Order: sequence, then C-alpha cells, then structure tokens
Amino acid sequence: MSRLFYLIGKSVRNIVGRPLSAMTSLLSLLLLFLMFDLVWISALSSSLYLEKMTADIDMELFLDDALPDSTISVILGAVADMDGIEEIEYITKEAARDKLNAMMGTDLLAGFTDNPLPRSILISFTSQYRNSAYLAVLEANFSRLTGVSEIYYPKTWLEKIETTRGLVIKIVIFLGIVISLAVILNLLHSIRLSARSRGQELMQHRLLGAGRIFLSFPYLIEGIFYSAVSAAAGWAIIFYAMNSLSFQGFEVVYPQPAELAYFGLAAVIIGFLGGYAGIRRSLR
Amino acid sequence: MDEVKLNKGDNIVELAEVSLAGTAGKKVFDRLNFSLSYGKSAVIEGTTGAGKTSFVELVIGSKRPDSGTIYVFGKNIGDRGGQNLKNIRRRTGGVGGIFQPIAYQTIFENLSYPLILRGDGPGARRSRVFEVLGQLNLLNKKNEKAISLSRGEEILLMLGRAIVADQPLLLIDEPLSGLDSDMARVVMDKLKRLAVAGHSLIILTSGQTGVELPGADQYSISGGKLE
Repeated sequence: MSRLFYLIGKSVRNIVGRPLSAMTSLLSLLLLFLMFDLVWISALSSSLYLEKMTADIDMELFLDDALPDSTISVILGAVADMDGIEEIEYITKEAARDKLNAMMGTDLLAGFTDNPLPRSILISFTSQYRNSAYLAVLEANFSRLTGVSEIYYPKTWLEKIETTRGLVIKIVIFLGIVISLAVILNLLHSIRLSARSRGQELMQHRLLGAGRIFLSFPYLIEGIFYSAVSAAAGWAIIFYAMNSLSFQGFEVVYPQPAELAYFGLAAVIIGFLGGYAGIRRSLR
Repeated sequence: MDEVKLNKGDNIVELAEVSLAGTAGKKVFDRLNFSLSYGKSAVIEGTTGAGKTSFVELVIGSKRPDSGTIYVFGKNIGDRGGQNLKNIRRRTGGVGGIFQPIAYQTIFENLSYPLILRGDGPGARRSRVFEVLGQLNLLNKKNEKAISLSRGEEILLMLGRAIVADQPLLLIDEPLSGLDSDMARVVMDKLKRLAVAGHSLIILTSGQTGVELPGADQYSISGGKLE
C-alpha cells in the first residue's frame, strides 16, 4: 500500500513539478478535444436534420383505369404485407381531384367531362425502412402487381440525402481517427519529454531493482490525467458556450450521457496508450 | 521476494566462461571466470578500458554477455524474464561508475528509494534513512539536493544508498577517485566496516593507493582475463 501511495504522490509531483509543460499539454489536448466535440455535435445535428428531411418521403402506386375496384383490396393487402409500412392511403379519382384542387387553388379539370386522374395508393414508411435500397426493392415488387401502372417516389432526392449522410459519417470517422492519433502523439511526446528529463532517475531506479510497471505507473497516470482533464474541460466549455448561444431553425443535438461516459472512457484509454507509448522507449 | 538462502562458502557472484565483445568487435572479456563467496570481498585492479565498469554492468545485468553464464545470489540473471534480475538488483548496492545519485533529488529522497521498493512504510523509511544518515555524518544535509554535494559526500551518499536496505552485495567502482586523502581515509574506513559486518564487496580500482581491504581476494583484470 505504501508503494501505491508513493506512486500516486510521484505522479502528482511529475505533473506539478513541470507546470509549464503540464499547461502546454493540457491546452493543446484541450484544443484537439474541442475540435472533436464540435465535429461530433455537428454530425449528430446534421444527421437529425437529414432525418427530418426524409420524414415526408412516401411512395405512390398509380393504378390502371381498367382495374376493377374489387381487386384493389388485393393490392392493398399485398402492400400491407410488406415490412416497414407505416400507413397506407387509398386515393380515389375524386379524392385525387380534390387534392389537386387544394394544391392548385382552382379546379384545373373543370373543362373535362371525365376525371383523367388515376386512382392511387399512397404509402408511408417507418424511419428505418425509409432508405433508397429498400424502396427500390419495394418498387420492383409493386411493379409486378397486376393493375399498378406507375410508381413514384423521390428516388434521386433520397439518394442525394443518403450520399450526404454517408459523407458526413466518413468525415466524422476520418476526423475522429486523425484527432485520436493527434492526441496520442501529443501525449507520447509530452510523456517522452517528461521521461527524458528524468532519464538519470529512471536509470538509477532500474539499477536499484525497480520494475517496468512500477517505473511506468507515474507516467501512465500523467498521460491519463492530461487526456481525461482535457476531455472533461472540452465538454465543460462546449456546454457553457452552447447554453449562452441560441440557434434559430436548427436544432443542436448533444451526445447522450451514456455516449459521453464512453467518450470519457476512450479519453482514459487514449491517455493510457499515449503514456505507455511515451515511457516505453525510456525503459528499454 | 523470491530469495535463495546463502551460507558461508556459497558463491554470491559467479561468472562462468563469460565473453563480451566491445565496440568494433574488440573482446572486453574472453571466457572470463570469477567467483566470490558469500561474506567475502574482492578487489579488482585494472587500467582504464580494461573492463572494470563492464564487469559491474554484467553483474548488475545492464549488459548481457555474448556467451557464458552469470549467477548472482545463486540465480541466473537471465532467467525468468527479468524477475531474477529485479530481485538481484534490490539486494545489490552500487557506488560510483554507473551508480550515481539522482542529482535533483534530496539526500533523503535518494536514500529512501531502496526502502520504497522493499515496501517499507513512511515511518520505517524515515527512521532507517535517519539512522544511515547519522552513520555517514550527513544528517544535517538530509534536505539538500544531491547536486550540491562534494565528491566525497556523493560517495558517502552512494554508500548509504547501497546499505540502507541491508543489501548483502556491494559493487564499488573507483571509490577513491577524485577524493582528497582525508575523505579517502573516511571512505575506506566505511568500506572496511562493511566488509567486517559481513557484506560482500567487489571493489574495482585503477590502482589508486589506499584501496586495501584486509582479507579480500585480489585480482587483476587485463586482456579480457581475470588473474
């Protein structure tokens, strides 16, 4: 137990004994973590924004005029059997005309003796099925149904949104990796400098029989301290700043508490890895 | 600690057929044999570059031989993935050569470390360090940084660090180097007392006058051999 107390005290002395180096490490890591936090918030917020944009996407099946009304229930049953269907609405020729009137503000078909508008089935989907791959499968299935003359949904629009969302995810992953590496390298450098400045001490302690784990411990704690404190300070600054600002027409999404806990754990692991990488060479 | 109990007559250090190449392929040691019984001491004399410091480095495990075996406290220093080496080092004290005080630490901190490794609590450490400081007449300097010490005080500090945890084996490299005659006499007196108290001392010297230890085996190192 006395050895543990010594090691904890030694870790504190290592940090406090080099205040300028400690501040440099903390501030540079804080900037990196702030960048990561902002990227994360941007990704979550843009993801929600894109999600909202796809919320109104539905598919309309236009029915052949020759199709008898009695078979429509068969088509409706076939549609309802599919996965991911949220709502099905059958639109008669009259309802289609009413919708057109409501949309245009006037009856464009006033001169027609017969209503030329087709009957249709309007289908909306649950969010997890609202994607281009699944809708393409449905489109292929529905096109084989007898009496379905045309199928419409905003395919290109949906694909563009998905491409944008994919791009955002790739950017977040790329930046996440780059920033994590930058944090590890930054820590490695700090801990290596710290170890080099105590090179004689490390060598003498090894000659006296100190083991690698015993010698590494203060440096691992130092790495974890820099990483964890910078990460926590980053979020503190973000929450403080965001509470002081207001965003109109754009909802800012923050990570969930569980995600923040995982982030904290990741910061500790990164700190450990940076500390280990920094001290490893000095103990060869 | 995993220890081997040694009795009088058992070898505390044993080098068998040890060869070591130096820089540019020059052989520092060529099938060197050496043994020292527990409780006995040895003085090894050699010129600069003869391999005195390399000898210490081999015994303490900071250099590995190209061939041959090294047993310290009855254990092969290369076995058990460094565990043996760690245990051997904790029971071996060193003065001079590769053993130096940690310059920016206080004398008290320098002396405490072997006791920290042993697992002694703060109270036990304090009383033991104070006891050793008293024996070395360094009590009044306990809070001074090692860097501020004179050469003689440095040697005394190293002697203190070598005995504070009752290490039975002491490796002493050029103990009188840079000392005036008075301080040399003080240091030699301390070394003789340690030898009489049953510590095994290996003193390496380049032939300074005054390095004499009654009852110690005398060796000369040259051309990669001990004679």
